[in-house]
Parts: sequence; structure tokens; C-alpha cells
Amino acid sequence: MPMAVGGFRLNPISYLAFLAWSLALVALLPDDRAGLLLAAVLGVGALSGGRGLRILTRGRFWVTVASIVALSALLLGERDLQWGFLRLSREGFLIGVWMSLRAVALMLAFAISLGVLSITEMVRLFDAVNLRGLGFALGVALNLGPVLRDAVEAAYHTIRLRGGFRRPLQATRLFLVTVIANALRYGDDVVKSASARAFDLEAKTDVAIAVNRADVVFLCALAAAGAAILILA
Amino acid sequence: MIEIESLSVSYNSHAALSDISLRVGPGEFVLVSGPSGCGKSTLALALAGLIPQAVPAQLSGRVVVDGLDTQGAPVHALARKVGIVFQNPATQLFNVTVEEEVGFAPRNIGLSAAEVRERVDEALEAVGILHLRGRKLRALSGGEQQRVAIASVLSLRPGVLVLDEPTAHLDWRGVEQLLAALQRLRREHGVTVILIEHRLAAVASVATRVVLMDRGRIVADGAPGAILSDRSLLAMLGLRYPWCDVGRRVDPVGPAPRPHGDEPLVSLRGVSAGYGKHRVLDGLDMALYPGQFVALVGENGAGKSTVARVLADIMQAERGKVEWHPSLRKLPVGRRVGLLFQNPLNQLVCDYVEEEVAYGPANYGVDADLASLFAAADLTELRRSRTQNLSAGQQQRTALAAALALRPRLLILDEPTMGQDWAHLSRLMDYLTQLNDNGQAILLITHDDRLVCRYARRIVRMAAGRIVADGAVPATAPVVSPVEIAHMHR
Amino acid sequence: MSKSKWTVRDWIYVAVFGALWGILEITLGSYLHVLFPPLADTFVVGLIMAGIGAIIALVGRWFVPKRGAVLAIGVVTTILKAFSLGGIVIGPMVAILAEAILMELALWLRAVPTRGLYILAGALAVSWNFFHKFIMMRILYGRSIVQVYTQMVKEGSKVLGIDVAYAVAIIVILFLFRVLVGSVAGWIGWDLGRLVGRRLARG
Repeated sequence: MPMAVGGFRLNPISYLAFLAWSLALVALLPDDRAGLLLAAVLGVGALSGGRGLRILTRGRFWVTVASIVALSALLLGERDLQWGFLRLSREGFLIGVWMSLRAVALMLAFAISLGVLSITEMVRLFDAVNLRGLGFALGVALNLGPVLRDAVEAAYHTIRLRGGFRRPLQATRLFLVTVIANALRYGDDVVKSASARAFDLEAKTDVAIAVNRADVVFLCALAAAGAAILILA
Repeated sequence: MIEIESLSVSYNSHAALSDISLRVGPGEFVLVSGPSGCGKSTLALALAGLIPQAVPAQLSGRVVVDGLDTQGAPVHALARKVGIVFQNPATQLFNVTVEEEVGFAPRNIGLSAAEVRERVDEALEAVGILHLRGRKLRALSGGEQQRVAIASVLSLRPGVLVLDEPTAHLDWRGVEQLLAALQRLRREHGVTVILIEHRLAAVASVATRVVLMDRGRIVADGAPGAILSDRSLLAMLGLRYPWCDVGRRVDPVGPAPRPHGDEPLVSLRGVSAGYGKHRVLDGLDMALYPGQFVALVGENGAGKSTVARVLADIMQAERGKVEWHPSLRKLPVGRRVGLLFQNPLNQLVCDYVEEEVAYGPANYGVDADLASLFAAADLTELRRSRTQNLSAGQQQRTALAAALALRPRLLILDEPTMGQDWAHLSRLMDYLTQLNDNGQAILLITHDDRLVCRYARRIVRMAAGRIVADGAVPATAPVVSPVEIAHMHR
Repeated sequence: MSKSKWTVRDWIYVAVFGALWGILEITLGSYLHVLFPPLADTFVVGLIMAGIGAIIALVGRWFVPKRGAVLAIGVVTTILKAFSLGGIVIGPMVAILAEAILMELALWLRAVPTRGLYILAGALAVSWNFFHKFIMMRILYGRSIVQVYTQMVKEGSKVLGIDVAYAVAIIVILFLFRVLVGSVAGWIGWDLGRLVGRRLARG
């Protein structure tokens, strides 16, 4: 759910700015100040309805993070800590924690800013920056997907049922040629439909990058927060 | 409204239309029909101005729609006069939601946001899908998507709507909804409708005029009652006589025959299967016997195609068992089951017909009497043809011959009627009957009850993943009068 | 991209190949697990799948003969993948985009690419597979991760009793293997484009 500020919804531009802001801060902040960035990202994530924070519920995510902390503790710095039969490094452990905080902050920033966007908004953004064809291609790809998937499956199982797997290289060649040729035929049908709906790449549309008051407030808040984090760091 | 004078169209010197002249007045509902390859789709493309502007072809003669010459006017101007809807909704949808899709064309011609909204409302209302406004296109049924496709051309307020086999992918319910929408458009909004269709029974009672074509020419033009009652003309064109159609539902009577004994070829016992969390088959019990010709019927979503996929080992049963006769268990699945998917083109993996049919036997190292197969499938003259150049009917027969070359114990056909005219379909079905007479077990998945009555010996009806009826096809099918057919479509 | 020269057909073909890239990675991925069960879940299968993406994008370039086509295909695939994975996962998105950019860079060298450029493009795309993990880790975890990996190599060499130089050699071999796979993908992409064109030719 896109964040609302004072009753106004944020537009995609705010989320993309947030992503750029996060990447910039990650580059500028020393590693041991990653916690500040993470706090800011979690705040934005919570205000956005929490959808982008779902990544935190994935077990695999935490396994990766834990392994980096463990490896750092084992490999970096002097091993001055005994934990059972393991000799660990305090310094290494702390480095691992800062690295992990940075990684979590970045992954969350991506998940929040891109997770709130819909394909519709992506298409409108492309239209607004004069990449109309790319936005159109995205919509076409989305709708053709199921048909192409069926065609791929039919070709695959046809070859399988006819024993094509016994000659894998030939089967792969036939499969790819069939699938691509048929996909292009579907594409030709789309060309006719698009022409019939007066689609013109050169035509100007009245789509502009949407910016409202909430966006301005949010962007100012981001700038201020960024400055504050850098000063504190 | 529409004036066509001496129109001829050819693709790379292959003539598709020859000297067509036709006049269509405002508010008419014209059904255009004819055998595959007669030029119907070419006529549709020429009417919309897509030939020659978007589809490369040579055109002579004149097509004028509502005062605009289709050769001279730009396509975006023509789109405001004539809207065209094609067979496959998936190739006509470019957006994410219904609202965006229907607003696509008005946005393309530079209308303001307010005007676009107005046009969207108007178009959705006209086809009776205002309630779908905010829905995602991918969540809609085939019939709903097709109506969105119609709305998306209507949003330009064309006076003429051309539909090229729009019912090809639809079940009966979808066809009914579509025809109701078209009738409303004509009655309430004065739209002239040109409908290209094989399924005459569905459309015969709603059209005000019928034009029949053959080999690029118009061979008949007049009132539906007169033209579609001419059995000899219809037979000559390979079209189905619509007035003697059966009702939409055939129910089994008594146990089905088992011509080759009581030991099943394959049994599904308590089979449950589906896609992710969505279970399609729910504890299904079904047995198929050698030599049976079984029609598997039911509405979209009943699970018919899923049964085919489980039998062909494309999908695993989550619960239950698929048990083949012991003599078949050691055979690879491709020698047990021959499967024909809906779109034959997706199953043609070689460049040439002969290669295609020989592919399976070559892989398994089995002998196949290809000459007999070609003869039986009427492909002898086409054996050196490129698979991509075949008509839909020829592609279907090639895919079938390729499956049969492995002598599968069970042949499954999933909706073979799609896009086929009656002549080709009859030929295909007669060939299947011959095979069945020689002991081939056949499982035919279809919506077409007439096909069921005429060819199948056993009918299995499915609903919600279960079998609800199973037995012999009645010897005499119920006959429905034209009045009753018209009533069905009201 | 010189957008005024791009036609509607070009963009539609970009859509087709963008959709196919993602679909075929999934389909052929499971096909390869059937075909090569002893190698299932090893880096070989992962590598072949990286090659598949390169092949599709390069065949796309055959049918959209415009500079920027491969990048456009990659952008479409990236966005589709992001919305189909049930959540934003940076790794695959960055991989697809990086492969597309590298292929585009290779193909940009000539207006009309040659087989050699296709091979170069394929090699660059699949070699990204070698760097991807390291680069992603560097971006995500910062400078210190380099120290972690360096120490891992040293400790690993000590434990296994091999010279660090040999460990480096193994790494180089793994990299060259990817270059080889990518080159083959480029070669296949070139041939496949020709074969598909032949399949579609009428007459």
C-alpha cells in the first residue's frame, strides 16, 4: 500500500528517489553506521504498509545474513573469544554485524521502493519519460506471457512424448526454433491489433511524472534525514 | 456504410480475394462464412485498412468505410470508423487492467483524461462489463477478455465492428455472452456488425444477412433463412447445416460399450491434481477401455484438460493412482499416449511434414508405415511441404499423424474443433472413426455436443473436478428447431 | 536508442523475447534437471541457464536489428521477473540487467553485428555469472566482504594443503569455463536466429 502523507499518496517518483537515496547513503556512510540507515529504511517501510518488509520473514534471508556474521567472526581479526570449541574474533563479529545491517538496509530499500510500484505505474513512468515503446512492450509481454507459456509447454511435451529426449541436442534445437518461431507469429498478431487501435509511437500523450504535495514533503524529509545521518555518522 | 468495389488482394502473388464487390448498410448484422482459406480474414483486414497499411499484401479495387477510403486514410483515422476484433484475446491486450485497456485507443488519439474516462464507461456499458472496470485482465475468463477486446475498439466509437472468429476460444457460455453484447450494440447503438464465423448454429439466428465465400469470391449473399437452408450449398462449402443442431447438452443413457473386453487400458483411482494451491481434480475415478471412443465434456474449468495432462504424465497426481494395463507399463509414455493439444502449430517441431511424422519413430527406433499414414491423413501430396505453410486443418492432421506414427494405445484430442471449419473437422473425425473401428482408443475433449453425438460412443461429463455422468451416447440426439435456437440466444 | 526509427513491430518483438527469456529459464531449467540428473543443482545447470538467457536475447537481436534491442529485452525481462517472483529479489534482477548491458556493449561495436560479435556478447554475458555473486556481495555487504573472501581462500588452501596460487588457478579456470559456455551461447544464438528465420520463411 503506497504511503500516504497528510492524506496524499506518494507517487512512484518518491519511491525511486528513496531507492537512490538509500544507495547514496550506503556508499557514503562508514560501515559501522549502517544501523542509522537501517532505522530510516525500516521507518519508511512501516509507513508504506509493511509490504516491502516481507523479505524479513524469509528464512533463507536470515541464513545468508547469519553466515556472513559467522564467517567474519571466524576469519577476520584476532581470535580472542572462546565459544565452545570455536575460537572467534570480537572484531570480526562486529564487522560481520555492520556488514549485515548494511545488507539488510539495502535489500529492504529495494523491496520497499520497487515492491510498491505496479506494472501500470512502470508503464506510465516510461510514457512520461518518452519511452512509450518500452512501456507498451511491457504491457504486451505481460499479456502474452500465459499464451507463450502454453506454447512452450506444448512444444516441450510434444518433443518429450515423441522420444525427443533421446537425442537431447537435436531436441533442444527443435524446441527453441519452434518456440521462438511461434512466439513471433503471436507477435505478428499483436502488431495487427495494435495498428487497429491506432497505436502510434510518435504520438504525444499527456502523461507527466506525477508529483504532489506529499511527494515534495517526503523528498524534503529524505534530504533532511540524509543530512542528519551523515552528520551523526 | 461500407462499399467494396472490385477488391482483389494477394500475398506474394497468391490470390486471397478476387474481385469482391459488396455493400453493407448501417445497422446490419452480416455473418460472413466459408471454408478455411476462402479469404474471410483477408476481407476483415482489408475492411479495417490493415491491408495494405499494416499487413504486407497487394490490393486493387476500393474499400470505402463511412466515406473514408481505406487505402488513403491513415490507420488511426480508420480506427475511428471501423473496429476489428481478432480470435485470440491474448494478442489484443496491451495493458494491466480493464480500464487501462479500454482507454488505450482513446489515449492514442490524444483525448483528454476526462474524455477517455467517458469513452471507457460508454464502451464497457455497451458490452455489459462495467462491473469489470478495475479488474486485472489476466484474472478474467476468455469470454470476458474477448468482451474487453470489443470494448477496447468501441471506445473509438466506430460505426462498424468487424469480428474475425471471436468465438474460437470460447465455450457456449462465452459465445452467448458475446452474441448478446453484439445484439445490444446493434439495437441500442446502431453499430454495423460484420462477424466472420464457422459456428453457424450460434450466429445464424442473430444475423440479418449472410455472405458465403469460397476461394476468394462471394458465392452467396442474402437472408439467413434462405442461404443457410441450402444444404447442398453448405455441403459444397464444407459448412455445417445450422438448423438441425442438437441442444447444448447430451446426457448418457445406460452403460457404455466395451468393444475389446473389460480390462481397462488405464484407470484413474481417486486422483487429485491441480496447480499449486488450486485443486482441479478431486478424487476422480475413471477407467478407459480398449477400443472405446470417449467424449469428455464439461464447462471450462471442470478439469477435462487436467485429466489429459495426468494421463500423458505432464502433470503428477497429488493423490490417487494412474494405473495402466500391465502390458503397457513398460512402454514409454509417448507410446502409450498420443496427445493433440488445442493449437496444432505448437506441436509442429520440424520444418517439413515428412520430417514431422517420422520424428517420433526415428527417436524410438520403431518402424512406421509412413505412406499409409500420409494416405489416411490425406497428407500424401503435402509430405514435402513446410509445416508453417499449412492451413489450420492440415496442421491438425499433420500433428495427428505424427502422434499416430508411434501407434499409441490411447489417443487424446484436446478441443480439436478450435479454429476448424466443419469440412476439415468432419474429415478429421471420420478418420478418427476409422481408427476407432480398427481398435484405437480415443479420448475426445470437446464442448461440441454435435461432435459427441455423431462420433463418440461413451460420454463422460465432468464438473468441478469430478465425474457427474458417465455412459453411452444416446443413439438419437435431440433435435432443436430454429425457434428454439433463437430462444437460446435471446 | 534512436526511438524514432523503432517501429511498433520492433517493440512487440522486444516484448516477445522479453517474455520468452523468463519463461524459458524456468522451463529449460527443469528440463535440464531431467536430462542431467547427476549434475542437477550444480553450477553446470546454473551456467547453462545463464547461457539460455543470452541465446534468447541474441536471437531477439536478430529479429529486432536495432542498437539497444538487447538492452530493451533485458529491461522487459527484469521487470517481468520482479513482478512474478512474488517479491523483489535483487540478485536475479541485477543478473539479467547486467547480462543485457554487457551483450549490448558488445553488439554496439557494429551497426550490423557479426557472428564474432555474437560470440563476444555471449561470452561477456555468461562471464558475468562468475562476478555476479562477488559484485552483489560487495554492493550489499561493503568493503569488508572482500577481506572475508580473501581469508576464506587462504584458510581453505591451508586446510586442503594446497598453494594459494593453485586456488587462484582454479578460480581462473572456472572463469574461463564461463567464457567458453558464453561463447558457445553466442554461437548458438547466431545459428538459431538463422534457423528461426528459415522456419518462418514462406514458400
